[in-house]
Amino acid sequence: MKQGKGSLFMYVIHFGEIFGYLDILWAGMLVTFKLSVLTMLIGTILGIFVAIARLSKNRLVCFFSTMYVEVLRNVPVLLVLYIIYYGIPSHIKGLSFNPFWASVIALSVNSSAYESEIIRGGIKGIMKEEIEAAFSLSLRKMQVFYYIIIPHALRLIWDALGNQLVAIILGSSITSIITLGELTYNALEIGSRTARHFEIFVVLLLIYVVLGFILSSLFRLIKKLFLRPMNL
Amino acid sequence: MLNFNQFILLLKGLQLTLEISILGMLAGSIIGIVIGFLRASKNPIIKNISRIYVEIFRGSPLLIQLFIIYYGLPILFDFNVSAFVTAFIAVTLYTSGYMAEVFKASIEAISITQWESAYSLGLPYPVIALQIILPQALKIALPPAIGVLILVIKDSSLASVIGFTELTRMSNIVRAQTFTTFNVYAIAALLYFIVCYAISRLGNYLEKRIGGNEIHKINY
Amino acid sequence: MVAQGKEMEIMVKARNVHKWFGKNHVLQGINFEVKKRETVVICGPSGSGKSTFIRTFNGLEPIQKGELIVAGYNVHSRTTSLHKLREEVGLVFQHFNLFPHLTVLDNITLALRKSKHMKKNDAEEIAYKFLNRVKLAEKAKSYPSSLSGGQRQRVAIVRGLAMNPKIMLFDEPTSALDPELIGDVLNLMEELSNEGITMVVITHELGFAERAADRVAFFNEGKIIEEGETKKMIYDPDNARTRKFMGQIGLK
Repeated sequence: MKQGKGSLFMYVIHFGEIFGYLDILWAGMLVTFKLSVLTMLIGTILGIFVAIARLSKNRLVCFFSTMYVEVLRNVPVLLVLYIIYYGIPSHIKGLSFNPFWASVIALSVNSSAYESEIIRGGIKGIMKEEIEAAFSLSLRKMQVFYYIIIPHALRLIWDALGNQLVAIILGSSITSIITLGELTYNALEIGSRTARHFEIFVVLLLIYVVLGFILSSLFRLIKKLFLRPMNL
Repeated sequence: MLNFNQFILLLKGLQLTLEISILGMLAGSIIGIVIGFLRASKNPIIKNISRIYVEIFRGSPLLIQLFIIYYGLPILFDFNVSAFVTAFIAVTLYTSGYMAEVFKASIEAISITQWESAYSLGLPYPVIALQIILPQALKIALPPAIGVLILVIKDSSLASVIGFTELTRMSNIVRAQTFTTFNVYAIAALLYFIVCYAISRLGNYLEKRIGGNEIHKINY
Repeated sequence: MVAQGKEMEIMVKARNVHKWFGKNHVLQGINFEVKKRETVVICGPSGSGKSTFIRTFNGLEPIQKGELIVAGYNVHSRTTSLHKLREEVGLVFQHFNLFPHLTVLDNITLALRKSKHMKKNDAEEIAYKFLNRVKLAEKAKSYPSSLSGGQRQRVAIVRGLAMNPKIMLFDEPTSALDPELIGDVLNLMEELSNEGITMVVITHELGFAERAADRVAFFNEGKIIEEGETKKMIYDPDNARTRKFMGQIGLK
């Protein structure tokens, strides 16, 4: 379809066509949220275990957890997704994942590697002396963990956690490739229905940028309101 | 299992991945240097407008950027652009967003006395920026730039979606030929791992040699 | 294992205590005793093992050989509850080690509420009682980062005292403070000593030792070289090395 440069102006008007499909975009956004929240939760929990494993004195545990982190940090998420969605079912007869759960698994596992680094940094950032003081006051292991280590570490890693959540939301877009009906996939749908691919993707990009910005601002706000003091 | 030819195909894919990544890295860094200087400016208008640039290219998925360029280019130019050009432009812009921030931090890490003494000697801004600040900034920027390179190599896998042939697309192709899905992807993953891990170790080594800079390691 | 009756007159009893860090023999057969209501000062060059020694009193550092009975508990017996022992032993660190994410008040009441299971109001009452005594009550809701070094150390001491321990240990409490802040802390410690609290203090502040300590022990290279009554140890020790060290740290 030949278009002269003058018709670029026409495209501004065509952005309006998208308004008819906002409900599809919204449905996609809900799936993105569901996916991202699940990924963040599972990724963080997994990350805690991996972080503890990496700090372990047991050489074997330390080695395997380090390998886990290094592999996941150096392999593209898309490939991990393919391996879980296509690769594993091809090996095990009768097993198949639906796109949503394959995505959750792939993204959580990937995220857990980064989370474990963040958490490990937080735990290490707490000086040994503070923990000794807590024990000297007769607090028990679990109490030291719950009242001293976790609150202090949380404040240290809060910013990084926020960045990680934004990264998860942005990264969730690749699950459209395995046909998960999240934001990007739905945008592709709208694009093929209206043939306004360019416009819908510009809108999509803005949506992601705004989402990321809102989330970062939210994290900063919570930090300001609830997590005083932060200059540790 | 794969036969020899198929393995060679994967290696070819790896080569293409590295090509696009390094090319994109170089072009993106050049743009990134310019934007980085803008970001490090004292002028709040320049600082914030360049921030918008960075927020767009760092704050949105590469996949979307690829789609926009893939569908947008035929509008601007009246012919079909190759997947390579599309991928190259997208990777370049994406990289420039990250490198802009890397250079911003590197420039700001240089003591302000460098600027002050250069100005007192009567040197104009372009000369100061190019001859005095930039060489120092390049050295400081090297370790985090390695991190960005690893990021680009991994994210280049997305270009497979718009038809650019690199390692990930190659593994899809081989998979279709051989039906050994898991093995193909596993070997492709291994190839990515070897390359990226090796580069990250290089980055660690460089960081030790350059030593003692306050730029926090950006973990991707 | 808790001992009864007359033995409680002796707060710390160390017999032939040995400790190794790897190949390093840091404590070489220490014999040491502290009676109830006594204030004992331990001094010596850095690396002599004195810090390690008092950290064995509440189980922060294990020992490999010997007997150590603190506040009636056999510290390194497997049947001893460290948690219960630590309710009776307070330790004040050189670098205060306050919890930065908690207010001064919470720093003090945390262990009272969670370990001794006091109600919040009761715990805060005790905390305020001590804070008033050191004139830091208005800082109760502040965070440690807004306090000066001397204030932080006094809060750390109060935090330990609030647990009502049978013995208070001080590991170089003023070494990390600016000179003008040391006085307040030492005064507080002197008051505590006069009130009859059993104290073991690692310090080089000989002025404090002279005013408050009943005995002084000189530590060097993992052994107690000499110990005795304060005035004698400071001005006229028997041992040549002791004499040399005392001369070096001087009297302020």
